[in-house]
Amino acid sequence: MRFPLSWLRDYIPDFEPNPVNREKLELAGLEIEEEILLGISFKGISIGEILEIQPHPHKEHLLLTKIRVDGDESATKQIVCGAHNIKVGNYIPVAFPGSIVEGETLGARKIGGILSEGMLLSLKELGFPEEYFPKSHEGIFIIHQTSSSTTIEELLSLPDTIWEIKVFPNRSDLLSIKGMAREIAAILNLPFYCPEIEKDEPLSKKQCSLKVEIDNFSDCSYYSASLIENVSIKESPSWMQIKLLKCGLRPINNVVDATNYVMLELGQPLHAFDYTSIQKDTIKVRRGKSWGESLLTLDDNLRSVDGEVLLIATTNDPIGIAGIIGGINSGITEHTKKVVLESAYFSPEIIRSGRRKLGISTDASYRFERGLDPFLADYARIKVLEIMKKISDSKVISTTITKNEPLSQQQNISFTMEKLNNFLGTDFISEEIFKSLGHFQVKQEKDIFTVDIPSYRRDLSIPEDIYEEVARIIGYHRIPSKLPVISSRELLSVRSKNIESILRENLCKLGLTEVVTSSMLSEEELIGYGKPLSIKNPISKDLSYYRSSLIPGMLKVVLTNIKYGIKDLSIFEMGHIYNEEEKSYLAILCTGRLLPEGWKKTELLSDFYYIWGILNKLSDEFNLGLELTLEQPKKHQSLPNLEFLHPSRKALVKKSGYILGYIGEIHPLRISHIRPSPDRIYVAELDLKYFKQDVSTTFSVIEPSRFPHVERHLSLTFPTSTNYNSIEKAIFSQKPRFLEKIILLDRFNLIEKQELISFTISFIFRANDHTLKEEEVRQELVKIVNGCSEIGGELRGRKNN
Amino acid sequence: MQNIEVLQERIKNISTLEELEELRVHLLGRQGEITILLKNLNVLPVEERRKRGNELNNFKNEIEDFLNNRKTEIEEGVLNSKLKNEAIDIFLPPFSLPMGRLHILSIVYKKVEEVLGSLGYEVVEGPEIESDYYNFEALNMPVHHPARDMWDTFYFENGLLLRTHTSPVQIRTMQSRQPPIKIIAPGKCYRRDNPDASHSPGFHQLEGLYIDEGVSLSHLKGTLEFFARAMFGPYQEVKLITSYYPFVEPGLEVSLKCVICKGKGCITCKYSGWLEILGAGMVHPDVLSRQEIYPDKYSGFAFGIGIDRVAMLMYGIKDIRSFLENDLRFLNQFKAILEET
Repeated sequence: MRFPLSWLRDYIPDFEPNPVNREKLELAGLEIEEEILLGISFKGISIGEILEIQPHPHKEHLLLTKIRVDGDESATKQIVCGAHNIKVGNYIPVAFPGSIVEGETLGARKIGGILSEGMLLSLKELGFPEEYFPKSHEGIFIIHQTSSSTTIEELLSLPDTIWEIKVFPNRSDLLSIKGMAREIAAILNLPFYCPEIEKDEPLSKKQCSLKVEIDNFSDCSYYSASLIENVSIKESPSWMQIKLLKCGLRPINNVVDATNYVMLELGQPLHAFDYTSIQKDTIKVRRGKSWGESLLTLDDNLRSVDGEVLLIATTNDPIGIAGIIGGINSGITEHTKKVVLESAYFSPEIIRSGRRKLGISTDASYRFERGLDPFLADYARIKVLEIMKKISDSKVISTTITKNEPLSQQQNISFTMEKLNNFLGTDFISEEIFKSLGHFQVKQEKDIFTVDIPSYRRDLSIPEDIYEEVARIIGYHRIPSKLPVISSRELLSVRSKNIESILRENLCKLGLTEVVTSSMLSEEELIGYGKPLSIKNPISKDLSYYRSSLIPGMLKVVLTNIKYGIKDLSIFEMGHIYNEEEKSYLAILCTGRLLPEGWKKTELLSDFYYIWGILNKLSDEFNLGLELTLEQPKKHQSLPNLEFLHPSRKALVKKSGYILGYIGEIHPLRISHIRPSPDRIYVAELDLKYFKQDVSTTFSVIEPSRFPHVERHLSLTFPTSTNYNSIEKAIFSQKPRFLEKIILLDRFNLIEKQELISFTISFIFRANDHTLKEEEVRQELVKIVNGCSEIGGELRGRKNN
Repeated sequence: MQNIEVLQERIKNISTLEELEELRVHLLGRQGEITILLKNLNVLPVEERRKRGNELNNFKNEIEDFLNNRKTEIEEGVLNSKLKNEAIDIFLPPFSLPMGRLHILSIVYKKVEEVLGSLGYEVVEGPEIESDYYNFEALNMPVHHPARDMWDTFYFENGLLLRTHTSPVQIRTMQSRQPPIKIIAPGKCYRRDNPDASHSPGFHQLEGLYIDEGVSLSHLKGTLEFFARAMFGPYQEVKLITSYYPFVEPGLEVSLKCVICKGKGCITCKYSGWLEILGAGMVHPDVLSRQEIYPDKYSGFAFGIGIDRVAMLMYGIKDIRSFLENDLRFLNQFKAILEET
């Protein structure tokens, strides 16, 4: 909310907005989000009366005016003016040659061949910048109801400073000039002056009085309707318009402005109805009908309302949405003669519910839904009637009040000094506590303090609320810094790193770069990747689903980088996805060269076996026993159908019977739109839950054998359908002794025998306790060849090293 | 019989191993001059033979040494010229090795977790897809609470939502553990903010929660001061500002003396000299008692750190969107030294 300091000073005349005070206010919770400085950029401006208005003889859109300045009856000046909002008899700010406007000295000049001896001014020219006062340049500023001795500076309260202060949702009391002034006074320990309001009019029983029926006191616990007659609708006096404008409100007419003025000053939203809209003098405060009804509201929207919206209605039809916005049918017009003024307390819940239902927020709903002082409505009613009498020559006929008694209970909070100091970690003494709570009634009995909570402080209900009040008024800089004692139990519990971070570090060791991609993607991007969760209220189509796979996000990384000429990527991501439930996944993507291009000619491209190599390495490091399989997963294991992969270059990753993910090449059609076109893209995606399951951390050291190894190469041919996995199985089925490891060296189709495929395998033998003899190795090789022959393997040649 | 000096001179002038061998054969070979002279000694009388024999043997040894030395010299010369021919251009570009790297957000998370780990905070995690209960209700924000507007929320059709902060993990931890509780919870959060240089609809937080007997506001202040100094330097100034979050009382916002301008005022701190980096407060007694932790016995504090913001301040990153863009040229700037220091 915007707070003109000139208005705040009505309550706290001693307030100095110097940097020290400003800092104190900010630390105590009044964040000044914006400061608008209104200086005096003019000099020698008079208030003039318009005697005559004629069209400019030569220029179509201009007017020619005759202006007389008060106190100088004889002299009139001729001034050309471009704005058309003026009438004969208006008083306006006028600058004559020699005056300064917006920092520049004005001279007399000819406009369209006619001498203009000055200038009529808009608010913008009087120093109200358009960026803060959007309509300040539109039209001449017309002065209403002001005494002739007032200067323009006084009228505009210039110079002035306006602070836009952020108000927390629990402090509805600060959404008013009076409340903010009271808060500033409390923080800075300043005297606070509250002008007395006039005594309430005695409620007259004579003439007509309205009937007010409240369906449910839990929606509305206080409702007053004052009937006012003899109202003449006109513009508000300038001093009021200026205050409204400075707070960012647009003046409308004297009745509406009076309600807005009191809302700004006291925080109580009020509403004025045209009396002619009230049928049978009856006002009903009721919920909308459950089958629905509708109302054309003041913002010219037809709103349908139901049982979640509170209405102000007359015998039948609604005339306003309680606490949010009025209906057009009951609005104040220039013809209004009799006004019904509403001041009420509506429950925050019903206002919020209605406002959400209708999707609008108004100055009124903003205040009601934050919970107002239950006694404020009555006080504000008296204040607004007092003002209306002054500015609309009107007369209050009657006031009808329907309310729930009691409106609110007096609340007290008690605490001991010891508890306060234990909670804050301080040793404040009772004088300090008293002083910091100087804005409240506080009693001390022995060591117990009791604070009477004012009805406007809706945020205070438990002792901790008072501890905060004490701490922020004294200042958080007075809270000492202490570190809690750390127990060894705590330190021991943090010693074990989580698997995810070890995994991350290992993937980096393998040369992969971590990426973090958006969890929200477009529907299009996620097609084929399982069932993503649709977001009900996305900010854009691009971010309308919660991802069901990490792969689409990673493909976007390929897209981003290829745009910048980076075609070679080895990346991974660990993050959450939704696939029947929220899960933690790991994805790896590789494309392009593994070693950078260069004069060394180290051509090595990412492929299926590289990405499988990464998983295999992890499998080895974490003792996982990962295997590839082509089997379809069991029903209960959710996995997207892998149609986004190359149909003959994909595999499932298995760990002790569970499928925990897949590996494969991205289907070329999936990436055909990327320009410039990327190399083949290989991906793997794993569910970390299964990955992490029974990761073995037991370990015993093995002494490496100190004896020499023997290496033998065998070239074997097999039928072309044979896969390497079955060859390994055949080899190990023979339980060869001393075999340390086998390495596949080569694999090719025989040109001369198309039905055969040749595998060259290196076998490394080593014993733990002796140097192997040629004969021992030969025996094992014979076993191996025999094993292979069971699946159609034949020795093609034998090479010794 | 040749003069020794002449022979030496001759050996010196030999430049190839072949010539040298030829001379060796000529002098010392089976039919070599010296060999023959030695063979012919036995025709001399014993006295004469011994004398002459000694002379000849000395001469022979000397020549042999000379030949061997020269051989070594020539061999070295041959090797040296071979090595010389193997010269490489050391100014050609070096082999370019790939090196993996953590994402900058992971680097910052790791640092924060280490700093708070040293105070005994254990890492726990919670889901990103949350229920209204954990994200709002259990945090003192029933359905019609106006503070819900502070967090513009993404909802799913099934009524669940994307967590707007990591605070739901506070509740989940209170439910699964008994005090003392001392945890940190890193994770992604989501708010319906339109993306710009300082807003991202998906961002990263780290929640901290400490509940025990006798936990006070001064413990919170001490902890956050330690954190700020561990992250931004030992002289980092910190200030606590009154703020409001429904689930803490009092609610605080913590600001650092601007790490860019050191408080003089710059664009980053909007000329205020201070930067907000986290929200914190003492856990509201209603939040505790709702999870059956008795506020008469226990108190606690909680804080939520914006990791994107910390990363931006630590490394002078200007646009929050850089984190999720994953331009490898951007990510690869954050060298190993940054991970460790």
